[in-house]
Amino acid sequence: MTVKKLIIILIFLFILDNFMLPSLFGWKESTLSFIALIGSVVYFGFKKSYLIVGVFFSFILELLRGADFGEFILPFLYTILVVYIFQKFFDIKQGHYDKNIAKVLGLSFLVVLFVYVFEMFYNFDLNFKLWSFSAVLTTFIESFIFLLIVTWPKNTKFP
Amino acid sequence: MRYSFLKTFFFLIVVAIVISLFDRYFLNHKLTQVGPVIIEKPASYIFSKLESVNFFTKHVLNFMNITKESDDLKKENLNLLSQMADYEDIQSENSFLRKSLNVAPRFKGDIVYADIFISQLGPGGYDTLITRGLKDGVTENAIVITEERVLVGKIEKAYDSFSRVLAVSDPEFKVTVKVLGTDTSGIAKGALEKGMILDFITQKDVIKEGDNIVTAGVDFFPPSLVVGAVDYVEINENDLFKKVRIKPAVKDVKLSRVLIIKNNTE
Repeated sequence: MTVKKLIIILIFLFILDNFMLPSLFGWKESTLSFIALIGSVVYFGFKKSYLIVGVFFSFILELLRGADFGEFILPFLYTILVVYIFQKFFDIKQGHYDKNIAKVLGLSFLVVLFVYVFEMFYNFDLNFKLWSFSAVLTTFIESFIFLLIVTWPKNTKFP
Repeated sequence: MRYSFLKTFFFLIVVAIVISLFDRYFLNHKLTQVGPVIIEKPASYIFSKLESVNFFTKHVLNFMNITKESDDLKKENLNLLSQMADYEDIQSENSFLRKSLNVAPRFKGDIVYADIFISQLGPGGYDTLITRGLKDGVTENAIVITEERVLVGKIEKAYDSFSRVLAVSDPEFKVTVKVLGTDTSGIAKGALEKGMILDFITQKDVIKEGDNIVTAGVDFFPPSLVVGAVDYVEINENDLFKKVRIKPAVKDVKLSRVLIIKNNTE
């Protein structure tokens, strides 16, 4: 996945999550923007270009949501550090090397976990506001759909 | 090469921390305020148009129930008209008595209209932004309602040209409410996708599914603002309080245009 394609996907998802989902569908419980930011690095790996794109889009999200500077950038960076350390111990099979749907499901679950790590760094406590069965399920489904979209090359393997 | 990712990473963290400290102590958090100012007009236009499409689609899908709904609405309308006549009598009597006894009016806020241009869940709760701010006289804790007097929330933070609303479904939101037509009152708190939870309803309190919930007026929210309807009641004799869930009325109304009741400091 080139950086250009990633940027286009992120722009599309930001417009969908921040403008279309809440007004057109009345869906105000989406965390797609955060899934896209974190999922990009979890899936595509630790490259400088993806990190810079992630920081840039975190800044765009701060502009869109009226947040203070660093409110999303810093938790994003801390989360990526956690993902990096996690990768050293557990060797996440990142998407460049494996396009199996079962692996995408597993990665989706990991992305959900890291979204909660992001929330923990954002709030600086363990009192997760987004922690309910429906919120977790929604985040998982959105994460799965996002990873499915970005891993949809011709030679995707189905189990 | 091996450590280039980590070098970039730590460089970005240091730069982000320095800029955020600079923004906090020298720019007074103005660095990112330019974003909402630029997007608020086109975003609120898009929000209102897409919301209209959403409501139109809901009406179309609900087409089969139109006749029954029309009959129910006619009955409710007649009932409300007679209640309104009683209400006008009581209001005029109340106003006369307040003047006679020199008692200040209960509600004396100025109103300003605003458009919502962003409303989506974030890690700290809902990020709901409106197109009015300090320049328009909007201050923190000002109440946000719709034209139908449905409670939307309160102003959490007011910036120069826009404000952040603490929505009724946000976990940080609390309001004292009562059940319309009874003496039952409690505190309603936001519960994200579940709507609102009504606390401190004892086992003896009268409450059932379908009851209308309005603001009690004993805190700084004006009285009789529509909060929602009781969605679910769980009674457990072993608990001190009933578990009551409210479906906020704000989910059934258009949000693109709201009213802000300004705090008058006299």
